[in-house]
Amino acid sequence: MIARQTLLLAAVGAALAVAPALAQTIPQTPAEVARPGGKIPGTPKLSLVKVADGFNDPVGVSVANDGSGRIFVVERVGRVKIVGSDGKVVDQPFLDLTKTNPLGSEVQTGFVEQGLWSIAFHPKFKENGYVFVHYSSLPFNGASIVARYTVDKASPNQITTEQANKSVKVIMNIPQPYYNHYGGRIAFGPDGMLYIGKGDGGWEGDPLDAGQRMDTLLGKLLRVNVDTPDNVAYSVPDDNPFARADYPRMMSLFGVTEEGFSKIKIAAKPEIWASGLRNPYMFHFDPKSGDLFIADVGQNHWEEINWQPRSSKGGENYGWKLNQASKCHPLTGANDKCPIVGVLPVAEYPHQEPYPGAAKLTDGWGCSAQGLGVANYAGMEKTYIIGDWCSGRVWGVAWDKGANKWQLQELMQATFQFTAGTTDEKGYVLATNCFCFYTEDKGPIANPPGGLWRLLPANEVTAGMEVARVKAPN
Amino acid sequence: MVPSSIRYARREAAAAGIAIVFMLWPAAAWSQQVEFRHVFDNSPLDVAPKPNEQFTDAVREFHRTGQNPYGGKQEAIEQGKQLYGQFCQACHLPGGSGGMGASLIGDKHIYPRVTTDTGLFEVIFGGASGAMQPFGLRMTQDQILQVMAYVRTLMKK
Repeated sequence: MIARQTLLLAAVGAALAVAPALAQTIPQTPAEVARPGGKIPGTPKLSLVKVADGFNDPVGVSVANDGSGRIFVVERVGRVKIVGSDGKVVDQPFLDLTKTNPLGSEVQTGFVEQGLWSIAFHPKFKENGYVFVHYSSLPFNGASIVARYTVDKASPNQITTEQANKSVKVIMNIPQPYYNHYGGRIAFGPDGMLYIGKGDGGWEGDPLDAGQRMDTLLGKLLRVNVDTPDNVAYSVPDDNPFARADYPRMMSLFGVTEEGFSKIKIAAKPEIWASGLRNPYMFHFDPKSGDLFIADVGQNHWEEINWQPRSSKGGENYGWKLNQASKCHPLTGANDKCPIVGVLPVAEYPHQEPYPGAAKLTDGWGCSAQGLGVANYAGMEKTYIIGDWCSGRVWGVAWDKGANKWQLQELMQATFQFTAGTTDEKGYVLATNCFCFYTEDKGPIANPPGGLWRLLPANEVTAGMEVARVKAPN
Repeated sequence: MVPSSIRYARREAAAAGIAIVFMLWPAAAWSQQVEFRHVFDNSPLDVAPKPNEQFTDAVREFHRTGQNPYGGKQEAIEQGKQLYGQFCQACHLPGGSGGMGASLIGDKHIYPRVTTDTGLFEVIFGGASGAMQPFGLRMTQDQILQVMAYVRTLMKK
């Protein structure tokens, strides 16, 4: 037996010796997690080029992938604006949730993390006209609502108030305990399922233990099937990792393996795809490979970027609130020791103070990771682009085939507060920025207007393009 | 770093001589002699008055000299403290020791130019990165000078 194993190991070793590069893998130790200072081979010099501006607190952006070239910018107040393929903003909102409720806005915007966050287009949008939105509801006391609206083909650039109220279908209503950490983005995966980023419900330190509890939708990435009859809000895909974890069953004490017992999770929510998340405001599927990246906003000291291959069966626990990034939570000093719970991120970057009492960094820090999209152009391969809300830094996260490890590279520092992003129909990464930081927020239509930008290789910038003021990393 | 306080030759008559013109035609008569530059790329900052913004004598003097006339003036410092509480302290903390924003205390600064009045104005007015937005979009230049007067009291601690 031992001799057979030895032979097998020898054969594997020989195979590895001639293998050109290892497939990307999830880090198994904190030392394997990428941190600032890395270099992603093939990444070109990049520029942020203005697409359009004048948006009130733009906090989300999507495309319909219907060949129209339209870009849909989400304004926190409750409106979605179209930027046409000519770069002009259509005056009339595509969707206006401030008008659909006769008693006032449908959207709660009292705190800067509240509002309309996201719009997602059904994979068969061109045929069925279905769009889905995610927002904090005023009538439901700040609960987060996922709802579907149907575009009238006779009015492709505007869902009128009448059409909105006629076609609306509520998919989910998730009560919210506090006014922060809602999550935000919703998006269809390559499997046709709707994924919903849900934060831990707020305050700080996850006082509800939502990230680790499986009986709440908070602190999770959710996965549901929305292709259901109109009188069925949604269904749980059979292959969700906890689809049957709380399935009614007879109790058997014998003849069941320990692994079998471990799959019984009473009260586990079957919609859960991944747990242990703090505030996954932005996540993106790689349009090319179908892999998933999640930018999970951290608390006081570290931001984390998670990755799942397309082949993932779900069920990953990203550790919050027992870990933040590869660190302990709560973090008390430089040498804290604690177990790593669940799955490590592929990349992490510090806040200005990486641990309590640390000397403040003057470089390489941020405070709130907003995923912008996965780049596959100009030499970049499956590179997840991150914009930081506090420091304006733009990072790339990618697997370095030559070094067989993940790399986190600072690409530039902009003046922006990045809020959201996506890839356009040509695959370029788009980003929105606002002037709506916590302390200066004067309300969703009172803040200075924000903009929409495209991340282009610097050598594709042509005369007449407005390029954002950026600083190369030190 | 390109010097932030490049002084230009006077383009107008002496300040005293044009005071009456200011009163009759204040916006057009504004004359900038210090060139303010963005901390990121040293591109010029547009410090012309915003619509409905009336420049005070202190702002005009600052544009001429690059020195904050409110420096050390108790009344302006008190006003600046109020504004600091409204716009700055959530990030920089009440004593300026820094939290989400940089520490303002001591002599180590992310942008060394903040040790000069023009440099400090450039960072506050034009913004730096991310959450350190261009506060020229939210405050008048006179208010920024008041904030600067208060911030200087923190920096000396």
